[in-house]
Amino acid sequence: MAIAAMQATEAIKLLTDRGDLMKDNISRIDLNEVSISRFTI
Amino acid sequence: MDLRYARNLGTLGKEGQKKLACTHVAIAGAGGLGGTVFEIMVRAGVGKITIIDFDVFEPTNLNRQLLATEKTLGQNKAVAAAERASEVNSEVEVVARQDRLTDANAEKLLAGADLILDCLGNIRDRFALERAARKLEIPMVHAAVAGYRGQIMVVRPDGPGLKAIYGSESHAPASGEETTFGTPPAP
Repeated sequence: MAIAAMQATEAIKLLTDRGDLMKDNISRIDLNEVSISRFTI
Repeated sequence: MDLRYARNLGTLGKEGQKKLACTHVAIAGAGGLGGTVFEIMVRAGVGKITIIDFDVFEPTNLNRQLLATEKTLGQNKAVAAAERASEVNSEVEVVARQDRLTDANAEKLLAGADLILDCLGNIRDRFALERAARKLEIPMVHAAVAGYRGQIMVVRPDGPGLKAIYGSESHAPASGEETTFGTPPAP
């Protein structure tokens, strides 16, 4: 659910021309530790 | 503007909401990830959605797949999604495609979309989706779930894409951990 919400949010931002936070990045979410990590490609 | 979108406006604004109504999103996969993303897109007010899934709902889907209900067991997932949309937001045009996405049919299935959402469950199909997205020059939002973990990436037509995650396609396993770890069978 959390991943789906993030994917949908990213989609809506792109569709409404509000940019994309994740451009050239991979976001990894680990709910074992409640952490979000971003890796620049 | 329709009252159903009143609580969107603080975030999207009127212009954003109008833009959303003029967009076409293609969602590949209507399972655990795709079903939930589909529901959010429908409620948000995306104008048109093409939802693609060849599979049918089984009892093992009931624990996590939003569109899987006791009523939809045995039903094609894309068709179930279209029926759900007609109940939630009938303003959204939904095209249900009961197809397995392949290199042969991907471009035809995705043509005309403004954005593609990768909600697939295996890596080979993801690469086929990405290839078609690049040919059509449509951006794609990739996501995958594996147990308590997940990942998201925007794939631009000229960007590095899935190779940055999985390595070259020839070395990538047919299935990602999302199919073995994300939905583990009973011990």
